[in-house]
Amino acid sequence: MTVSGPLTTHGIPKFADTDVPDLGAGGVGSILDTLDGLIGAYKIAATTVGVGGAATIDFTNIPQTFSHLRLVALLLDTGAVTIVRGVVRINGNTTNNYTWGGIEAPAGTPVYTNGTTTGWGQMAYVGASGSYAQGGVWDALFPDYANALTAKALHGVYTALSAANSAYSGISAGTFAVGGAISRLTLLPGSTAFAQGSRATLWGLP
Amino acid sequence: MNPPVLVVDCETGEETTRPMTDAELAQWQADVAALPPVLPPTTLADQIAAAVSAGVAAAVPNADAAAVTAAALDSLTPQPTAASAPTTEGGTTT
Repeated sequence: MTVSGPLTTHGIPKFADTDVPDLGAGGVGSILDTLDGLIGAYKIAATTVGVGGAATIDFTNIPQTFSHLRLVALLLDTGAVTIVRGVVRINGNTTNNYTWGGIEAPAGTPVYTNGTTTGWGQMAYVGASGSYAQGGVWDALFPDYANALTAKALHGVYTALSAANSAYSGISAGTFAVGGAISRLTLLPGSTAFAQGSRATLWGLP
Repeated sequence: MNPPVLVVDCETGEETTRPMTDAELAQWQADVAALPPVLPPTTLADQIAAAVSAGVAAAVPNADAAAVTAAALDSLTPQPTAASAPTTEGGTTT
């Protein structure tokens, strides 16, 4: 289900801050700037995986209207094993253009990096057994995603919800070393498929 | 039948679910196989022990490595504190 509807029929709220006086750090200007960012966020699309699951969740034709993209997802895997990895692919690019690293606590390798480039970027957890209690939550930011000239950054925070897996949480950052705006994000699970009830929301930030 | 793909068109708002193409399926299977596993949590003590073992193995001849590792790990293991001898103050044993 897409909550926000097509962009072509919705005005996209933009709150330019050129009329906000800059009163310095911590001043009214800063507060308004913060509110500006919150108010101006636009829900581009929200989806929930239905019966039968989904091997991938594919956001296509992402509008280039915003400054940044934010993805918030609750991800469940159909596998009955423990939590698995989840990753993202940009613009359908499957070649080794992604680098990433991060910190996980307290998994066996708390500080990690992929070492070499891979065909996908970012890291997250995907909960097991299709159970909300086993879910993995992922909050990812794609700054300056519409810039056509430079490589893209991927920043993310992820954690597992279940009590049994509460030790699993991490921070991940990396790059996608290909110029061009991001117009497609594909979420991939690390095991079988996203289970029914998995959901993902894509936000545009001003 | 190939696994389903959930496609969300952000421009039109349309959602569709379709089977993967054979090419997508092959790529997806390769992706899943290549993803790193989620490692089980380890304690700090486990990590220290592993680091000590690796360090000793690299620095000590094979014949002595096991003994040196054991001694090093033993020195890192908290030893039970010896019970304090009762003291007598003013005729009262504490």
